[in-house]
Amino acid sequence: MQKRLFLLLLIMVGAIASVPAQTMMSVEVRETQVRSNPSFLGRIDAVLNYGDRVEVLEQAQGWSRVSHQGSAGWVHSSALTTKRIVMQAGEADAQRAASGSEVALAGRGFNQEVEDRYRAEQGLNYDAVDRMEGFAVEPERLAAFLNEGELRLPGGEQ
Amino acid sequence: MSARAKRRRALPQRARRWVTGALAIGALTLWAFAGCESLGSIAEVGTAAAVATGRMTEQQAASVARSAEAVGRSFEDITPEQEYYIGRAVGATILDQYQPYDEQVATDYLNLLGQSLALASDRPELFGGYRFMILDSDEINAFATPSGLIFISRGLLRLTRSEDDLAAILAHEIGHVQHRHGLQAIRTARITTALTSTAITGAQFATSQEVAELTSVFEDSINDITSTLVNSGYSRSAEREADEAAVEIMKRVGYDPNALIRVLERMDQQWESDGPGFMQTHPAPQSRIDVVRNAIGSYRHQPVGTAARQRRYQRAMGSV
Repeated sequence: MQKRLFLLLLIMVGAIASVPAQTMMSVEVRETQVRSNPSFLGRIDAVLNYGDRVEVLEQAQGWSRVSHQGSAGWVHSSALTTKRIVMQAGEADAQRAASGSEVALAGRGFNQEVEDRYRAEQGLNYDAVDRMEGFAVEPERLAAFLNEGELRLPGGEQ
Repeated sequence: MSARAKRRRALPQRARRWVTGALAIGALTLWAFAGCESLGSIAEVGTAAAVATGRMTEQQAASVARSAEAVGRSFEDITPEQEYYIGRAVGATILDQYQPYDEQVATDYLNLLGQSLALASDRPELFGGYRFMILDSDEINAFATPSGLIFISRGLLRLTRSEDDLAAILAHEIGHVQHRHGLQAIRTARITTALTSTAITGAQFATSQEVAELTSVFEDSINDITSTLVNSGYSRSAEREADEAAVEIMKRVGYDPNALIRVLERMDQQWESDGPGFMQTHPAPQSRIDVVRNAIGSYRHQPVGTAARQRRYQRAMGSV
């Protein structure tokens, strides 16, 4: 009886130990898409924004399956960081950001304010850069381009 | 002299002015950063002396060295958000020296092709995303800003004969972005100064004095990158990394990686070691061809979709 109890205890401890620690990550790009499968051609189910916290459920071939506000899907891992990104930093956050690398403050440092000042001082051709940022490619046109050229994107279940 | 020839002649002059300007700024800011730059080494010398005179144990010395090191920041600590602002400034500097070539069909095609390659790279997600633009210059040149703004000159476009050739050049530039080579051109002392400044770490938003100081560090950082991109070029190992990334990206998407060798061979035929653009900033093509051959290895390209690619390449690039 004692032996059996011990065995049961051992199994329980083993089960607890094998549950992976919950991995939380943050979106470190302005915007990223949550997809139905790990591919840039996968269906877009939701959009995540800069600083959003997600729970990472699994990782495969450069992609992370994440959960955010109750729904799950795939995000490319290059959009995520283990740092916590603080949008509105208080004093404690600022101190943590200064002393370690686990917190990043959004909108601090080289930011819009610095750019505005630099732009006013230097002139330069920021207008052309602004125009260039408009050269975005719609997902449908990209898919058609790949298809026509018999090209592919890495990722699963295309 | 044609306007184009004038622009070409004007560039080295501008570059010289730039270097002079950078030197002047460097001299002005030297006093400000001298302390930070040598912090680690001063700590080392100081502790070595203390150990030698028996005032400090080896263990204590190690701990001092560690804390001095902890103050330092590297390019890896620059967030994608900050990288975005750095990249925009580098882009605005390049577009101040080179005119954009505004031809919609060509630009559109370039962005479709570039985006396809970027999404197959190891770093498809950037704060603001990849964008591609043609520069109205006969020079053989291409640039990538840290934030993913990629420029290619008409002169370099004319060395391409197919979509696969063009893909090879764009994939090489994407390789530089993926490996964050641009940010690595920033002197470490500036990164430490910027990332530990109170404008970032203070509880309150920055005062105008703090913003002014940060803008000065920003300016120096942009100069570090643009002078590397335009004048001195990246290291050989960075170019090797970009070429290897290009081969990998092309394999993944289904482009022929041998196209990179073909483009390099064409470049080699026009190579003058004292020529402008790429010839100043890149290793001789012949030395890169061996690297590319190695990276391709035993991979055998399956030619599919060739006719469709050639049709759209000619439609878009015919007039460039």
